[in-house]
Amino acid sequence: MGEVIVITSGKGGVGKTTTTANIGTGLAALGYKVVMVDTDIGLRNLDVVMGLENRIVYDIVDVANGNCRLKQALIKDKRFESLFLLPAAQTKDKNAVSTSQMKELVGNLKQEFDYVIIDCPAGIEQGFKNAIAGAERAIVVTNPEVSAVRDADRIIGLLEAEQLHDPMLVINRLRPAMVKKGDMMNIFDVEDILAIKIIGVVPEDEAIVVSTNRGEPAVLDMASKAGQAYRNVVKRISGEDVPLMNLEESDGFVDKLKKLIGIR
Amino acid sequence: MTNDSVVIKGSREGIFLHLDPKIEFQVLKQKIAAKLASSKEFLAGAQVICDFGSREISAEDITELENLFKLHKLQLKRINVSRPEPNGRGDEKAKSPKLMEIPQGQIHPYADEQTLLIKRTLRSGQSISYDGNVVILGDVNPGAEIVASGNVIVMGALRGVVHAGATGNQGSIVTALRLKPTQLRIADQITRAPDDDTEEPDVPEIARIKNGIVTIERYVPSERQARAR
Repeated sequence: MGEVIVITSGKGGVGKTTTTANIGTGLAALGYKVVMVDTDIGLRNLDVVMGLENRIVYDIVDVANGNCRLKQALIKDKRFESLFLLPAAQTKDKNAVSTSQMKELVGNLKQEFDYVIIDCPAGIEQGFKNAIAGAERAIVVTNPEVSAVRDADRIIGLLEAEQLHDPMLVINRLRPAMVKKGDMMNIFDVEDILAIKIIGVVPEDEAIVVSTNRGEPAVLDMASKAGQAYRNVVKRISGEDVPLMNLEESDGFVDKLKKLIGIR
Repeated sequence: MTNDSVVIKGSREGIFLHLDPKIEFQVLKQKIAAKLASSKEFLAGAQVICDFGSREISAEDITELENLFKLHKLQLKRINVSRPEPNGRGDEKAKSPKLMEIPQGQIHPYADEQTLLIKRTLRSGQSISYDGNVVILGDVNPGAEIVASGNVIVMGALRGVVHAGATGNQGSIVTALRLKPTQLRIADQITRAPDDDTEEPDVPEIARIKNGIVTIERYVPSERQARAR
């Protein structure tokens, strides 16, 4: 019996889909059997980020309405035999699936997989309700900025109301240089407001843009800082205790030199 | 100004005479005479271009003017006339194509199924499904979908999902000016571009089932194809 984790944020554009793709791929890389479910019906992206768009024949709405069998709609990843995607429909809307249908679907998936990772749409309407319907744990993604944190706070409240207690937090797109200058909220500011367990801090990384465009999750890129951060998130999800990585060592050569000769 | 009916302008070609087409010719002639008289020898030797506007003039009128100009040592070089405006003159037919009257209930011998014409670009999330042919004057973007029981023709870039012959017609075709579909289906066949495909076609292409598999070729009009055989 697998574990169902929903990845949500409230606010759009904070990196839910990127986080889903990386966590899903990372867990599969560790050998787990994983399925990622895109519940963003009408604005699907996970297939694009995974580079699997051109394999879609059936989608979640077809499964929910019984137009096909669940197995027919699952798309096997290019890289990992144990990683699958259940894509959202693009030509329908969020109301095309009901929460009871979602619960049944997720219930079936967790019989087969170690992890069911659900990519939630932005917002708190039907799509959000569907996404969290069958979930047992939640990961809240936020950015270190007031608006994203405000929405994350609202989401945590809504999750609690649905009996999804103790969600995990991923702080995404942190810029260590800006934090150092005091121009960006730091980890403690965010933790202070949200007061939930942080399972990862992912730095802003251009490699993410490249990997998204190529359909290759950054978690597989050993040179990418964001990729490293996601690998750590994955380990924490699977129960391993890994310390948060030090993002400040991203100093340039000049800074290191200054440190060495004691200018700072 | 009391005399707007005759306007004289200098140009590199000579003297330009704009003549009001609405007043009577004899009146006009007198006005020209008056103007020329007032300018005395100033204009002598010049060439004259007369613009009559939409006035209909006869050969006699022109001769009369020529004689008048000679008196003032001027030479008529050219006359300009514009076509009369088409109102109630009975010559509209020459200006616009005749609208056809199609007899009701008559089926053209070339006609087969129905065709849906869409004069815009289909964007992500937009979907067309039609029992017949579909013609798109525009692009089909990724995330858009066309399902047709017949053929699909895209006068633009086809980047989305397309399904021709969706009810099982193996003879259906898909053509596009730029054929780069996310996924292309004909009848019960599904294809997609290989993952490492970076080749961008910049010619119109046609997809159809040949020997049981979907084949994509450069589009060649069927007449030329027949001749080449």
